[in-house]
Amino acid sequence: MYSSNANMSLLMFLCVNQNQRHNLAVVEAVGFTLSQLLQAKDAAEKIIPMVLASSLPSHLLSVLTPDPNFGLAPAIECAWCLHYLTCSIVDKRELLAHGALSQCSSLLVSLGDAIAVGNKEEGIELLVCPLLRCVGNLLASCPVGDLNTQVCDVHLVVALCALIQAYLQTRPALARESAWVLNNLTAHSSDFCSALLSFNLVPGLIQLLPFSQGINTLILRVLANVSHKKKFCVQLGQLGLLSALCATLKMTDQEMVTLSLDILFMLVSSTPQLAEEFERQGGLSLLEAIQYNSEGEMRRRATYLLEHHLLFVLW
Amino acid sequence: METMQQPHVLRLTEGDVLIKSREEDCSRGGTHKLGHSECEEVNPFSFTPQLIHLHRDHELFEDGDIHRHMYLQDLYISEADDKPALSVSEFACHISGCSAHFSTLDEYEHHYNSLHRHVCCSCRRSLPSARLLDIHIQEWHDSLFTILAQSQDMYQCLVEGCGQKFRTSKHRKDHLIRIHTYPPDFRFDKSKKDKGTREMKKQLQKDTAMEVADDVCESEGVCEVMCDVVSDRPEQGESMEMHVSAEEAAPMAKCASTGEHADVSTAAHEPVFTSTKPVNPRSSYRVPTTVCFGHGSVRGFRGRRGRRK
Repeated sequence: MYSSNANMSLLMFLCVNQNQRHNLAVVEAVGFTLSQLLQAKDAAEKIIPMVLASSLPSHLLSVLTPDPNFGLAPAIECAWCLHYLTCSIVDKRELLAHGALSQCSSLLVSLGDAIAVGNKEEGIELLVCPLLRCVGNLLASCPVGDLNTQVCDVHLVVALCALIQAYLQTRPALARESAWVLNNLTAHSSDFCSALLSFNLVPGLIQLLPFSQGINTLILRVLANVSHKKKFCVQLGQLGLLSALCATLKMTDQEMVTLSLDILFMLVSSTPQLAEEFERQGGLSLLEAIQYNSEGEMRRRATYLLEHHLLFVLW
Repeated sequence: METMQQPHVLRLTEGDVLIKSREEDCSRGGTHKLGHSECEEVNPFSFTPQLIHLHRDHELFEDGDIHRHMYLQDLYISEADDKPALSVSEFACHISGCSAHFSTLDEYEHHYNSLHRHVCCSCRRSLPSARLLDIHIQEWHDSLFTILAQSQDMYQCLVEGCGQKFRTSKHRKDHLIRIHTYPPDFRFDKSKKDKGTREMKKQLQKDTAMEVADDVCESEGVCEVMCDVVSDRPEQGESMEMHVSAEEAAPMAKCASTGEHADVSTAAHEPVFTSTKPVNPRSSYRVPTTVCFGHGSVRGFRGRRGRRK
C-alpha cells in the first residue's frame, strides 16, 4: 500500500508546499499522513532512511513555529512526525545538525512561558506532548559537550517546571514526561543544575515528591542529578531536601527508597553538617528501620550510611 | 498505542564514561557477602546520572499516545473531565504487626477506624464501635460488673438507644432476636458461666484474637459487614447484604413478622414467641454460617478452616 513511489510523491508534495506555506490545511493533512507512514511496520527499514535522506526534516522543523492565523494543527502534526523520527533512529547526529534540538527546545520555552502566565490556549498540550518527546530523546543522544550549543537557553528548565506544575492535576502523563526531559537535561550538565537552583525551582520540585505515577521517581532522579554535582549539596540541604528525604525513605516503593538513600549518601558525604542536620531531623531511626528491609541492596546502603557517615555524629 | 505491551526499553547512551547501568552495579554488589567487614570496604552507593532514552512504545508514553489517538478520532476533550486521580505514593499502616498498604488517605482512615480505633487493651480484640468496646470491657474485664451481675440486670442491649438491660447474656440474645430481629444464628456472646474453664478459654481467646488480627487485615470487608450489623447502623452496601440474605431465607419471614407484632402489642403475642422460638434457631439462617461476630466469637471467616471441609 505504501509504495515507495507514493512516498516520494508525498514527500515532494510536502516540500513544494513548504516553499509556499500558504495552505496550512494541506500541510496539516500531509503531516498527518507522514506521521502514519512513520509508524508503519516497515518504517524503520524503508521509510525513515528515505525521509532522513530528503530535505524533509528541515521542512518539518520550519513548520513547527505555530502560525497565529491558523492555529496549532500543522505544527502538531509535524511535531509528531519528528517524534516518530527521533525515537526510531539510533544515530541522531543528522537531526541534531539540522538544529532539531535547539528548535524544539526554544519552542518549548515559549510554550512553557505562555502556560506559566496562564495562557491556556485550546489544545496547546497537544503540541507540548510531541515536543517534549523530541527534546527528551534528542537530549539522550546529544553529546555532553554540544549541549550548550544545542540548547542555548537555560530557561528550558523554567519552562519544564512550569509544564510540570501546570499539568500535574489535569494531565499527569504530561507532567511525567516533562520530568523525564528535566532528568535528561540535568544528567550531565551542571549549568542546567545550577539554573534549577538560581531560578529557585528546587522547592517546587521537592513538593512533587509525594505524588505517585512515576512522577516522584523522576523528580528524585533530577534531585539526585543535582546532588551528584557536589558543589550544590549544601544549597540543596538548605532548601529542605533532607526533611523531604525523611518522608521518601518511609515510602513502600523500593526505587524511591533506593534513590533517596543514594541522594542522602551524596549529601552527607559532602559535608558533615548535613549529616548532623539529618540526625537532628530524626533520620537515624528511619535508616535503622531500613536495615530490616527485605531487600539486601537497601539494607547494605542503610548500614553503610549509619556506619560511615552518621553514627560518628553521636560519638 | 498499538503495542502497549512492549517491555520498556531504557537504552543508555553508549560511550559515555560516566554511565554505568544499574544492573551492572547490582551484580557487582551481589557478589559480596553481607558481612560487616565487607560492608566497610565496599561502598554500595553507585548513583550516576542517567540519560534515559525512551522507545516509541515505552509505557511512559502510553497516556500521551492515548490522548493523541483521541485527538485524531475527534474525541479529544481539552480539559479532562474525568480527572485521572493523581494519587499519593503508597504507604503502610503504622501499627506494628499490621501489614496493610494503602494508596489513599480514605482507605487508610477506613482501615484504621474499623481495625485499630476501638481495640480492647487487655485482649487486643478490635470492636466495631466505641459503645461495643465499652460493653466488651465491662463484661469481660471488669470484676465489679461480674459481682453486680449476680444481683441485678447488667447486660446492656447491643443496640444503641435501646437502653434495656438483662440478667444474662442469654436473655439479651433472646431480646435481640425478638425485638431487634437479629438472626437467630447470629454469633452472640458465649456464656461465661462456666468459670471452671475460664482459664482455658482465656488462652483460647488469645489465640483467636491473634488469628483475627491476621485475618482482618486481609479481609476488611467482612469486618464492615459485622460492624454494621452489630451497631445496627444501616448503611447501603453492607446492610444490603443482610437484607438480601434475609429475603432468601423464607422461614425467617415468619420470625420477623412475629417480631413486628411484638413491637405493636407485646402482651398479646408474648406466649407465641416462647413457643415458636425454640423451633427456629437452627432452621433459619440469615447470616452465612461463615460470618460470625459478637461477644466471645471470632471475627472473620470462621468456616474457612475446619468447619467447611
